Amino acid sequence: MISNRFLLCMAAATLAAPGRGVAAQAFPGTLPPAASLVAKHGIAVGGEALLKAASITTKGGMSMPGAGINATFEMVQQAPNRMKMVSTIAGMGQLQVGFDGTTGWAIDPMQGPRLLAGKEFEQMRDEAAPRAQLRSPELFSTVETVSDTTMGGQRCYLVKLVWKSGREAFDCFSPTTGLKVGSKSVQQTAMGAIPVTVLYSDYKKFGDVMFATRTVNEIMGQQQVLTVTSVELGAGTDAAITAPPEIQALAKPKSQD
Amino acid sequence: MSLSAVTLGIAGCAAPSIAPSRVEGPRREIIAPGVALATFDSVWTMVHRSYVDSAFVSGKWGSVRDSLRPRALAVNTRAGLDQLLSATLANIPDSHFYIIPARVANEVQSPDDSSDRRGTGGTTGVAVRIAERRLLVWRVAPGSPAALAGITAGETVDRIGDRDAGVAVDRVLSLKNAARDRAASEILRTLNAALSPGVGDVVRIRVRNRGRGGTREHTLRAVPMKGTVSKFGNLPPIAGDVRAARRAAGQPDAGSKQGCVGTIAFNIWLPALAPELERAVYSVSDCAGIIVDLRGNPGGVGAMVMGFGGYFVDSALVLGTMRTRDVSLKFAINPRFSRASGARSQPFAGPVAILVDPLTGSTSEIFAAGMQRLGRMRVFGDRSAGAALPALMEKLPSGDVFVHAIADFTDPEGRRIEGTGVVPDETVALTEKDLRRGVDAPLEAAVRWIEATVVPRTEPRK
Repeated sequence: MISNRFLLCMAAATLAAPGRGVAAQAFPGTLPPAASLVAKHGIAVGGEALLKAASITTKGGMSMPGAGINATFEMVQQAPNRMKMVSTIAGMGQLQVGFDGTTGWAIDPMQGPRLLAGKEFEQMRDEAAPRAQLRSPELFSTVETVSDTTMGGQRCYLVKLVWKSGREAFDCFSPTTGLKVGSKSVQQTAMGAIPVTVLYSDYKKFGDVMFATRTVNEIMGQQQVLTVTSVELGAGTDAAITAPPEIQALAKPKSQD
Repeated sequence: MSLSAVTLGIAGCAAPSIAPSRVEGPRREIIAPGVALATFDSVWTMVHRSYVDSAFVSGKWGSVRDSLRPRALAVNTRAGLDQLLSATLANIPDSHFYIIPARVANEVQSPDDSSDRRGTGGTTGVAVRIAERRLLVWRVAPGSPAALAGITAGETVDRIGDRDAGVAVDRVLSLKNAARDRAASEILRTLNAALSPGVGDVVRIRVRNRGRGGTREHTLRAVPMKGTVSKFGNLPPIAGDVRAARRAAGQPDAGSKQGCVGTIAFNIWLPALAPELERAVYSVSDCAGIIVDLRGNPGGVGAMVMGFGGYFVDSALVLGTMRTRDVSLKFAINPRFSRASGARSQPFAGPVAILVDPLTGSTSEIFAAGMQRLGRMRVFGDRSAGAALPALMEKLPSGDVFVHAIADFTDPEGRRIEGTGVVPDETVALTEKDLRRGVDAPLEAAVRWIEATVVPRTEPRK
């Protein structure tokens, strides 16, 4: 579930898009334009700083209380669209995913190393760049506000986003803070498509940016709680996003054997 | 795969069909007011929320609540709660609905600490199976308490603890068809679990050697199981054991590609064993054929079949489909074209056999059935347990862990494995005579098939 990985940093996203800086206005009985909601969100999370950063390193933990599973994670993103995330899970080992701007990959103890393909790859490619988290208009064929609703008990405006690849996602923005309250999407995996609902809360400042430090994912009836403990913006190094040897071997042209 | 994929991994977890509640809390232990009711309600709600048989949930499950919830209000002892939960789950027709007692589930074990594993993960070194209408000693681990006591394969087991093995087997064999197979698997699970108690616990076993004559009773004290101990989620610490071996096939140049058959045996599908499984595969991948021995393997993390299957298949074939109420997920094989070292590799292309028996369960059945239906592997031995449903493990207010199926599973041809099990291509019955002689008949049958399958070498011997 690639985009869930990005949900960790979505809160830090901003919008380099028309309408930036325009405060969203709620009109009684009228839904505010999606562009203004997205722009307000971008400003609220300090996304401009994120756009300027050469790298973003996010660390934290994850738990599935019902299943008794705990993990730590570290995600490194490098401009313009490279990333690597390593999750370490007790009793399981490491799960890693990455994207180098061209190739998306994943490796874990259950499935082994693999290069992403099909819809799973499209999802990775769509969402790899930080501007994708900013919901830059040029990435979507449709962005529209569809309802005034609630998620996790909080009122929010639900915005439907249709990627140019055809995938759909829904983000829900707080009318007061502009921050994202939740989202819904269908995540592509090697096993098929899985609906995911996400709730964001406990926003905190990390320097010039703001992150939701608590993210609750509902997936197949299971609850997953992610907690962000640190966010660093920096120069970054290639080593931080280097794929493991098994992936490098898969990605290498056969002529180089 | 990202963090959220962990959910998927667990959801794809065909939990090991371990023996139910063999460790009970103190019978008279008093539990806090309301705990029994909260626990009953949690169990009922989890099943109501996720059990894939919606007709059952909307019908009988409601009446189960109506009849048993009042009883939960009055329960104030550990024993009472155990009985209540047992009565509740007895209404569900499928496997993978059982309780792991808090005492077992909460046992936290450092993976590198084998010095004090009292209370969990023990073995006496003896395993039993039903053959020729009797309970027989199937295997005795070298150097184990059973071996040191002089117990040998092929001996008849009359009693384990207070349980009369002969009576138990007779009762099972008096049943018919599928009910008999399922009951045989269950009784074997229970009896073998009794032979693997907590480290330091003792088990009495009475055996009879029909060759030498006479009956002997032994008291065996369990020692730690061999293998890599890992604690995954709410499962108790489990010792995973991976063994690989090469044996000369009936070819002239033993040890060369055409002259050996590799065997890979492991006792559970746990992610922590992935590196050992990879080493095992590559240690025999130059042999003419490979035998994957899943006898006694009760399952584990279901998603592992996708990675392990990739050592033997070069395309993304589907081993089966898991269906919850909301989603349908395919267990697609990930072909292995690279190694941990960074070297390129190719999946093994030679003949592969799988060994199964009535204690082959869950994830092992998903793997065996899938490979069999795909025509990639040939299955030998005895029909498997027929307990193959993806399950979750969730903690209850009582501290126990509830293992409950959340999906159905069908093989590549759309057939259920649950209830029917994997039927071997070649059923090979165990016999007392073979066991006493140290002959592993299912293994020998698989070796013969591999030898017959491999094209004989044509170049002259030097």
